[in-house]
Amino acid sequence: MRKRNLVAAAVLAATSLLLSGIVAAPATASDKLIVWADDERGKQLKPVLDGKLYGGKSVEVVTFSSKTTLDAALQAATASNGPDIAFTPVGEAIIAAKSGKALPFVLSRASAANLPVAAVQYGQYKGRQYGLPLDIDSVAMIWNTKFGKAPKSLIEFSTRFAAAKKAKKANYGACTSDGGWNSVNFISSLGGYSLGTNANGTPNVKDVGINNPTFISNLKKYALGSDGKSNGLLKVDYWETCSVDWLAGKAMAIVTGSWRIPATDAAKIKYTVQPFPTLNGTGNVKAVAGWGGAYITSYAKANGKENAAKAFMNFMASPAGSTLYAATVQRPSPNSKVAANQSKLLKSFAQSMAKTSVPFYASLYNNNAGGAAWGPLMDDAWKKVLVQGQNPKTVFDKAAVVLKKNFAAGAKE
Amino acid sequence: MKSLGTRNTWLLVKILLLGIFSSVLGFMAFMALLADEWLICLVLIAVIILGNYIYLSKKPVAAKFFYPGTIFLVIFLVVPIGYTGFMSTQLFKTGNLISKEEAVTQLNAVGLAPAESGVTYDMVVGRYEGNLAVLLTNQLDGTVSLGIRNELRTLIEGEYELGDLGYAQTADGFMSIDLASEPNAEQILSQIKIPVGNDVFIASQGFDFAAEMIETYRYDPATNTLVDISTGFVWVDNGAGNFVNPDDPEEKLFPGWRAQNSGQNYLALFLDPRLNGPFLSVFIWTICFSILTMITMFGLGFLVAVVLDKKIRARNLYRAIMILPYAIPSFMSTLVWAGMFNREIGVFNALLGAEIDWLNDPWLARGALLLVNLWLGFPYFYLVTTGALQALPGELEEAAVIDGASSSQIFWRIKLPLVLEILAPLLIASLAFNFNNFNLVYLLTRGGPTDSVDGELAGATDILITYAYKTAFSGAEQDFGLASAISVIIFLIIGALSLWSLRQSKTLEEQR
Repeated sequence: MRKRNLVAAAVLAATSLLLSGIVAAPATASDKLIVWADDERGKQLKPVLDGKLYGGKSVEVVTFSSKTTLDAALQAATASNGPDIAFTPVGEAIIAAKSGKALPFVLSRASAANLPVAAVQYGQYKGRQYGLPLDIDSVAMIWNTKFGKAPKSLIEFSTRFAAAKKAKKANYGACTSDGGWNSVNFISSLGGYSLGTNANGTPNVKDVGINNPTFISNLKKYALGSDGKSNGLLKVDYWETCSVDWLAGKAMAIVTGSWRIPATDAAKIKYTVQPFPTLNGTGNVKAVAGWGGAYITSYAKANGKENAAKAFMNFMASPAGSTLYAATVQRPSPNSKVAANQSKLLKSFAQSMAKTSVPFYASLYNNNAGGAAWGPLMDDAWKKVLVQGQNPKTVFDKAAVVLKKNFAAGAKE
Repeated sequence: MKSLGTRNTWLLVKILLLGIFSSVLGFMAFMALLADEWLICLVLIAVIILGNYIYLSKKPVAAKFFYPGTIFLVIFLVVPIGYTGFMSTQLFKTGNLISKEEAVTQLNAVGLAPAESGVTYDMVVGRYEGNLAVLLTNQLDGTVSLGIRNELRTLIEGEYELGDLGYAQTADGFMSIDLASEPNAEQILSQIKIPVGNDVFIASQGFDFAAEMIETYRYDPATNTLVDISTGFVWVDNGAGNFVNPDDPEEKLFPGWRAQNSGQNYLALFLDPRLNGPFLSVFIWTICFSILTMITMFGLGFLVAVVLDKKIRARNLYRAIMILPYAIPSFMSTLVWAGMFNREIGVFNALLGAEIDWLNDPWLARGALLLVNLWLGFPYFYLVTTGALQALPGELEEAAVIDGASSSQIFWRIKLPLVLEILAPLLIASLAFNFNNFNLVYLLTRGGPTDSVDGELAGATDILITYAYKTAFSGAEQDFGLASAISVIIFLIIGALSLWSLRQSKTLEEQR
């Protein structure tokens, strides 16, 4: 009898615990507007957004330990556990859109009017708006003023670098420091371009200008030495390598974004921020521009929070939302009204971008149908030319073939 | 009485543990149910019932011991292998990640596009004469309108009042609804569809914002096609995960959906010229890397063990030093080595006064990989071969010496064969481990150098597992189906090696 009672107690205990689990469950099936962000933006946004109401839903910011873990979580997310809003580079909204994991929204004319056209286009896929650009991830030239004022042209830069190198004051002229993806600055300055444009402003995917004769000729003339390798004027590499000379004051410039400012300040380097110079000092170079921002996931619709999520995005796109965001993350804002009130340094990046930026069409530049996408392809091409001393025409001709395949495939998607 | 008390205490502990076990799994089953994952829900319930039966009844004694291990084996081994095998038969890549039902829902959502007019409105939702209505302020010209059912009525000044934000908040006869506290807000908003002519209508885009929209695509379930309403163009289901242009099947609509592709991932690895070249070179390098690593690690470990087997001064100190590389976390050592090989800031080039691009030359990078793996792995073989040498009967060496064998003959003809016989299963295990040595390759070379300018997809030091990882996770375009197929191939090779290893061990046991 006693044993039976105990068994009954066991079943009872198990059942009661089971029920307690079920009772707890609805509390976790969130009625909140769930926002996912990486360690940096998540930590910054959580104190200002948590608990705020948009469309009657209270915001909960979930911060991930790194961008990598955020990416992994977004990949594994489903409607039952995924976010309603994700803060990522805007280009990632396009990838999510292609896979049906992002929801389009309408950007009001008033909000769009405050953003550069390139920034708005950057968040579009097949003509629909998915990504909302909120901060500028693009690059400018940070010039070490120890070497005087920033040069007005690449020719002047080349001459001054040669002198500084001879005097053993500089080990290189300018380094891209974030890899080949932003080497468009160099290509453009030397007379080339990554992607041509049709008369109506749309990209011409058949027109790749990384191997045009002017570019190759100028590259040989200004950036290569007699041994066919880099003369040190231009360096395409990553921060780990570029930073050694830059932080030691042995480099004249780096081409990067505002994210390298804290390390530069810590090294007590005095600098100015401006666009990378053109060959002759006329006009502006072109640089592919990237933006950080947010997108609505398809889970918001699946969980009946589509309009609440759109209300959140409408707020973030508004002057009030953009101001709140910019003040929180302390990055240059693409919103012209907000940027006007930012610090001089952040304004410099925004102004440089306004002069130089061409859209980084994610579906084209991230496509790898030819073998490798734009970033790794340029890493490899520049390494072959600048480090290994291979013939630039041969290398960039081959790279152009890969790029044309990527662009052609990207245009079909 | 005391014994009964103790028994009851243990029984209560068991009940408590079973209660926790059941509630945790029960919670998971409930969550699976919420996510419509019926199979997972049923499996979890079966695990709960079986677990309670096994531990609450006296009969299945053996099962009490095997049950936890079996469950973990199924969860962490059988299910992942089965799932990977299943995914390898699917078109599962960027653009084709969701179900067809979800894809159609998404395409319908995408099909609702802003009209060419680009007109957007500030919106207040409410009721007018008992009907759902919206008060709209045109963001372009400031015109205020009242939208009721299928009608848009322009209001004149005096019929409405502007709020602090500059758009109409109230109008004659219009009672606003506090959507923020309305539980059915989403449903109410989805009902707003006010036609303004030429198939254009006003729809909500949030709680206080609306836009003129037009339907561009519509899914026709009867014909399983997607119709472009503006042009009448029909996109057809290609049966392989996408709606495509029937005249150009390469022109696809995204998102697509996950679809069965009947072994196409495997066929592509062997037949697609874009993939079979890299796959073959990676496969060959994986085998070479595993075998060379095994030989070099064993060789050096054995050599050191033989040297330190002799009674030399400070032998224990040498032994301790030899174990040091094994005591440092391998990922740290690998990163340190990567820094030392750096062309510009590495210590090797600094010492040599050279500018050798160690990790960007295919053969140097392969050499570096073998060298670092040797550094990391030889102490293990030193330890096990030391043990094996000490286990060899001393009489054998003595007998050989009496028979006039030289030191060299004793080493080559007695010690080495006997040690090899003892360590054969470990050598095979090492081979299998290095087949999957992801950490080393990824941390040292990331599988590179890759000649992407020449269109190469795989790097010179990529092994199958890093190639699978790159295919699945790196870059913007990912192909999980193809990566799963590579993983299945790795599994088959490792499985075959392990089986062979087991048989070898059995043979050795039988020989003894």
